[in-house]
Amino acid sequence: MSETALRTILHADMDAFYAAVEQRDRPELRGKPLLIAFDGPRSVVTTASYEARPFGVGSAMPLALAKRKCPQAIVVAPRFAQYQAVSAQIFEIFGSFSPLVEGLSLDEAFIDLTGTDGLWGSPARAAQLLKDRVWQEVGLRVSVGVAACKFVAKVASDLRKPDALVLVPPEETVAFLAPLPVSRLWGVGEKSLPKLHALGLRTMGDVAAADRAWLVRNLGSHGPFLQDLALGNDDRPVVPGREAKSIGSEQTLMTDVRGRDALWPHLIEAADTIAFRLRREQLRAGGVRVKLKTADFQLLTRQARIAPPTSSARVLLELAAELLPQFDLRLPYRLVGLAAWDLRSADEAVQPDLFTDPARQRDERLDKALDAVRDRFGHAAVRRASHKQD
Amino acid sequence: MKVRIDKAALMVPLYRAQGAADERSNQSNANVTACVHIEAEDDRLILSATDYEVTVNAEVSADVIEPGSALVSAKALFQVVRALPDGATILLTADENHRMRIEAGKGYFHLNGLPPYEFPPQNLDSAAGRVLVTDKVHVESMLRHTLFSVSTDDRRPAISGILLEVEPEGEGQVRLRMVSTDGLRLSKVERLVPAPDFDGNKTSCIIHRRGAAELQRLIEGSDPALRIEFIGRNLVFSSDRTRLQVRQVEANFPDYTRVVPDKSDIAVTLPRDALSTAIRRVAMLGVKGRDDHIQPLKLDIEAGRVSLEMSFPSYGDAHEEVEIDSWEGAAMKFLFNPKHLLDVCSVLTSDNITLELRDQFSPCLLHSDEEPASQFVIMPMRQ
Repeated sequence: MSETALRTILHADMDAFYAAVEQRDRPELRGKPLLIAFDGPRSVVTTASYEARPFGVGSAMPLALAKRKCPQAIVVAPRFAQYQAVSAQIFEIFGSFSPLVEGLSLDEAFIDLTGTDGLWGSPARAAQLLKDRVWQEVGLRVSVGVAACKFVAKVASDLRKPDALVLVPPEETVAFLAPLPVSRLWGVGEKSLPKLHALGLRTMGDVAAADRAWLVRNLGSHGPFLQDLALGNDDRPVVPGREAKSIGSEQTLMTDVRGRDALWPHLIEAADTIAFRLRREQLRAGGVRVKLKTADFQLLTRQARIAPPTSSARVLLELAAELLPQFDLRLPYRLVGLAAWDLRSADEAVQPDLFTDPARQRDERLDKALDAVRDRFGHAAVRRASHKQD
Repeated sequence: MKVRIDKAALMVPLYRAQGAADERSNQSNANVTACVHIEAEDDRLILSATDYEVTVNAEVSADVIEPGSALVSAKALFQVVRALPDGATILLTADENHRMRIEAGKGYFHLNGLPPYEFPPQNLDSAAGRVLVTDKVHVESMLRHTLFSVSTDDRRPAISGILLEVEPEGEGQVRLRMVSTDGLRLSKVERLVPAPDFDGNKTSCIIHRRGAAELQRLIEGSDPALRIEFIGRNLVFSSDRTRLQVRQVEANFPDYTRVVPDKSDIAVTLPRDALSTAIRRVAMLGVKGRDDHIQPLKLDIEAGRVSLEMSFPSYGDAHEEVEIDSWEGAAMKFLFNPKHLLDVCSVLTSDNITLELRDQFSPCLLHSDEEPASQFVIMPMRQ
């Protein structure tokens, strides 16, 4: 810890990012409650503007419920391409403060400011400067937390949102965390919270002060892990270049579906979309992940590696077909998703398979032909024959 | 049960048995597949372990004071015995609560066990099988040439083991063939061995890599003879007072004849040691899992020399050169996974190694004149 104890980590989190971009671009939406979602009977809120939040509306809530809670809210369809473009602008600003920027999503990043005092002055100055630049250059507000480790920085940025700047000097870390509820600890969810409460652990201070052996007895290895966090001991480094971790495509369905045959057309659609994006961005994927959400909102995922890495929709689908039986297909599902992960540049050498079906190579040519048509006429211009049924 | 035995004598069968016990449940003795079953009778111990796929029964002479049996964690017993001083005489006793006491000198250990009758019975009708008895040196070298390229991906059962083929060749001889692949490379090795007693037809089966690894342990012993029996869906190997039973993988091994290329016009012969040293050197920056993306080894073949090159985006690059005598053709470039080339260099013992090449889209054949019955196929990488 001796080296890492002196780190300065900044966590930047855009405030209601998608909603804020819409309000920036469309002045008539400013000051109004906004729900970013595709307007359908079964869609989910991706972001709610701060004006909508007092009504108890938040992201991941079914749109129908959000509309009941906040009937005056305006529903705006998301424009992901625009959010990506704005995100790139923001990350450029982040990158000008330090080369060590670890993107967690389009609107959230860790920035390691260790040793940048000479450039930007104190951590407080650097944080204010970053907020000012995002506001002046992009026109959006960002909440910032600065601390000696990732965990505390993230807790800090979230504490007084929106437009917050919370600085936690290293020596005040333990006192800062002590009064906060255990629910803010990393890895504490619906399951572990009642358990912690039953043990009399309500604040991080309780966890920090607990006897370590007692924690192990009652919580297993999770106990000391939580205590380390509660003491602000988190030496995970900021790992740059993580922004494009995966490319995914998912769909919340109009009605819950059961069984392979009902899920399959959506996976075909997703594989085509993902493969197209992989090729457009000159990438290949070394892994694929199938994601299903049950009717009662349980998110289930199964993943596998692909060798050699691919940008072929057919290969993605082959893997998806192998993963699908690992789910309980008798259950009703409300969301189907597919994602490609372990992305790598398409000009990296690949190891072809000895027994590869020559059909695969034909397929790469087919994919390229499809892309050419789509580039001219749009994505919906061509679909595989296997789509015809729907 | 009460038995006295030397540490060295006990280690041999225990080493073999703990290998068959299920590694995944190593710390728990609640599962019989993690246990070793010890039977003490007459003047011997029989140690058995099984994970239902691979079963080992290893016999050793011992001073049996009181016959009986015990069932304890294989890993735990192995660790305890291994830690005892060399040359120690060990006293093993089992009580009615299935606890085993291990005593040597002034120290003693207790291991909690399970009721011995919970160990699954092994009742194979060995009379029904075809039998092949051979000198184990053949099998030893065949294993060495194939085990390294078995797939470790159990989602592909057909290649999760070594294909073993036995073809009667007349005059009391059989051709043994082993083939393994991980989908990217393939190893194929044949031996013509005397087997006057083999009366079967052509036989083939897949031995899962765990069974093959056990077979390798088995033939480390001093007994030169190896007996192979084909009994139903099982293969039984016996040597050195140990019996290894392996359930065959029920899958169809891919058609290897399709991917083993014919001789090629473009053949380059290199000194094996020099090649392997050069590969190790240029691949150095890429090892130790720093980067799970495999960087290709570039082979530049021209008159008089083969240059090797690897570059690593975040570290730099490395270059080496190996001299060759015979190269008539035009200069050529190939990309390979360095590990694939290196593994073949490591299992061969010959002075030279020959690469038969076609183009970067076709499999490359590796072999040596001194071990002509072993062929290795690797698929070039593609940029």
